[in-house]
Amino acid sequence: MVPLPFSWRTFGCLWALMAAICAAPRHGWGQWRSGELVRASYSDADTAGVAAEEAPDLGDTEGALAESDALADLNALLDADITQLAHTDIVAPSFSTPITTVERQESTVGRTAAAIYVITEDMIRRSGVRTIPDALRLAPGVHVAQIDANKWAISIRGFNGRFSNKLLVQIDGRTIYTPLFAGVFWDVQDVLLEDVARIEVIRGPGSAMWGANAVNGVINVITKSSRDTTGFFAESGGGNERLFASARVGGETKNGSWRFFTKWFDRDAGRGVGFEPADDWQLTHLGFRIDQRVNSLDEWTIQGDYYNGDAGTRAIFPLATPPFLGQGADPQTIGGGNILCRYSRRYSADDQWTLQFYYDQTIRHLHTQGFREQRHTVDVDFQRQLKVGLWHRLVWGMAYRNTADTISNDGLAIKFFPNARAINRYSVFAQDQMTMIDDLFFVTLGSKFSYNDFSGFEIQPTLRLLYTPTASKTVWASVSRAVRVPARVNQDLHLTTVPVSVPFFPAYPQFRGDPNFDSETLLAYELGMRSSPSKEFYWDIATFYNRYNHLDGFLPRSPGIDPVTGLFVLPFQFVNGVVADTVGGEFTTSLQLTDAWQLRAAYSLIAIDVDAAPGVTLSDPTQGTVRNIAYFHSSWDIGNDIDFDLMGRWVDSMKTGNIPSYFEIDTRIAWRPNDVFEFSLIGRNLLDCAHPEYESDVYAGALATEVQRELYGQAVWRY
Amino acid sequence: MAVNGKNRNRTADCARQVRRRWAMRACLLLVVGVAMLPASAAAQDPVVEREAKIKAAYLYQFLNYIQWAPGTFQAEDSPLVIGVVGDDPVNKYLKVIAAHRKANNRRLEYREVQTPDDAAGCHILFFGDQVAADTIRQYIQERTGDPVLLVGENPSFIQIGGIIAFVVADNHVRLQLSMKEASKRGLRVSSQLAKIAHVVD
Repeated sequence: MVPLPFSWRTFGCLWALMAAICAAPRHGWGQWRSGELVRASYSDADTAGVAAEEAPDLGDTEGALAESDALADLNALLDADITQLAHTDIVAPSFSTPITTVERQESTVGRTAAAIYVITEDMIRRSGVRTIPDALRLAPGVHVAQIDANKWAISIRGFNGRFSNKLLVQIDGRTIYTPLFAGVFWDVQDVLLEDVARIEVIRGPGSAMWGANAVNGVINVITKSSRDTTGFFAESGGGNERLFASARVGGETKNGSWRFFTKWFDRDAGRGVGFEPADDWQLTHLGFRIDQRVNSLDEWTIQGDYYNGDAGTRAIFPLATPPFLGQGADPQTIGGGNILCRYSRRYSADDQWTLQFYYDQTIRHLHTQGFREQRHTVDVDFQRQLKVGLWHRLVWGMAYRNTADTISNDGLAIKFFPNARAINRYSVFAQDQMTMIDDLFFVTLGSKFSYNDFSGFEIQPTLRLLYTPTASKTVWASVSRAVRVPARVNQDLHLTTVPVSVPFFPAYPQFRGDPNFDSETLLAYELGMRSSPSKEFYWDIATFYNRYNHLDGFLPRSPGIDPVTGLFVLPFQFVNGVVADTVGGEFTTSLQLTDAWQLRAAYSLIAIDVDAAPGVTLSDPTQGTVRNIAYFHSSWDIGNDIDFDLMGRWVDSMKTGNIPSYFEIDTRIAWRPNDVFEFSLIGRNLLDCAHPEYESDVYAGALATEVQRELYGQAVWRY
Repeated sequence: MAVNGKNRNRTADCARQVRRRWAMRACLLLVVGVAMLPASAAAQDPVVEREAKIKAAYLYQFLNYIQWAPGTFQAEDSPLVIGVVGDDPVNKYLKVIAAHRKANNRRLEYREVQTPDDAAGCHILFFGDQVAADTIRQYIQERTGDPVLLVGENPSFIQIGGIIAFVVADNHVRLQLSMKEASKRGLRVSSQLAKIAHVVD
């Protein structure tokens, strides 16, 4: 029994603080809009309207109606100059950031009953990052730990690990987590960051819309339409840790547009402590996208990628004969391709449908360890959104996915039984956003119903409340159930790791899947609030209490001779034998100090309590959870043509692997002599020569390397 | 063998109970907190989204920037008729505006239009977001040549034959304007309005 690292008293205090903030008089914290305002709902406005019938020329008299503020605002608009109308903000600017992930339809941050953060195009460019994992460090609540130069452990709200398995990650609607372990192989998730429109990061379950695996969060990388990427773009650069070059060309056709890009990079290995690192990473990537308008309503998109490269590793692995323990560089070949087609018809913003199909293939080959996985995925997804009556915004859809893999059981260490398996998944979902009080109170009810070959039927409902007292303030709450369906590893793994008690008598710990392994479940309670007291200042707080059940753990079984390998093994079997509670929150704020200087900061806190059923091995009571993470980013425009950015991040110590806490500074300075060229110099992890972020992985035998200080220059050409 | 959460040991259960009690207190605080919200909200700006209001304001302002052909109004004091097709959040504001405001020294009349025949005599006809393109087309054809300003929100409104379309982009309500369709109906659009709109043809 692990004592809860922070008490419920703290949680209560947090809430008291929030309640106090809610109750604070508006004058105490800035003016959103001028005028002495008294809240009036629209029904009030209507009655006021009737009452004022005797005073017909309201514009002159400012009569009875003026008391009702909904109409004071309207009067101001009616009397405004027409050119002013064109520049009137519909909602507070920080609330207007568009998002699609939460409700699978266009919405804005201000209208969202979920903990959402949007990493914008501008933030990506100004941070100087080169990979998706590094871009994810910009979002609150996301813990990104680099294992070696091509591997990352990434999680939201705890449970981090190389094989962390509670996130749903998508690139343009294509799901990229692998059913092999329900996590993501980040070394093949590459995009041309210049073409990314935004990365939407949702903390908390998105399962009612997105289904299995959207347990702790959803990450959705959305690239720009080819309409927005016409012309030429080229970039090239390098430094002590990496070299890269990319180029893109785009154009317009009669009713549409297209782009084609190519990208290459070579990343140097990290710092090996006591061994020669072998985690170099190269990737070549070709991609295209075509967007075409068929008529005034219909539109289609076709996009595809092809990539190929090497992502090496320094591996330790078991041997059947003395010395029983092997160590060596394992050059890993990675490759794949995908094609995605999407057809959509849009009658209006509230009445449209989309049909999407994709095919995805990946190949991964660990040469030294003798592991080769080839996977084919086919996915069809239909979604319809419509407005029913005045109060119901309905979204429903259905999907089918088939994913089939073939795994070579050549090596001693990593084997799967059966070695080839195809998994089907069928699902339907429906969600209704109900307007209970116009522009003030909304209730969203939805659920996903799915069937998969691993765990059978799953139901994942959600209830979300959204309260929007003003244009610049949102309070929301939700209760959701989510499941993490079993992955191949949970049911079919046969993993032999490096032996103990060498050299007298080697005994090999062995991890085995269990065909009876069932889904992990989560019941999540969330409460959040965001506000933009002025155009320059924005803050967002989200809190959660998550109850996990049936989490995976290992149950030791009786030692003996393994019939497959003929070795004496100490078997451990996957069981749904762990329960956990997490509680915490994230605070995000942005402040525009002057027109040229913006500050952003984020802080996340999480406490975890884990219990294991009797007999179940609990190797890590924190489950890879890092308690505190803080981040700040200062963006300063020095004149029109120089950008100066400074980012700092502090990550608390990680109990798993005894990784100490660290604080690092990244910086970027860029100069644009004209509209065509941009030159920048980026420094990352400047405070230490090297620092560790994650431990060596005993299961898959990958030795972790430390993240090194790096400097690189970059030249960009846009035309 | 599958072990589930029910098999927790007793100490864990005990600790959980204590924590549940705290959870209850936290929930209570939460409820109190939320209950306090309306009180604070009372001192706040009433609107979440001004989109509908901005659109209603535009429709009202158009009256000053559009000149109807001479003879459109039978009498000096004939009202300006604003017709709405379909249910839309904009309507309720138009209704209030019509009841309390004047334009060009004329009274305003608000009319909820159900069929193309109802639309006879309207000076502005506003098609809500819900109205399908086919319905809009039907109205436009049946009222060909009428001196009526057609305003809509459908993405293909201008292609169908509308005059002004509202387009929401970058947190602003923008206008698309077809001068060709306006002149077909004998409407004169002031240059000031044309300047702020995106003129399609």
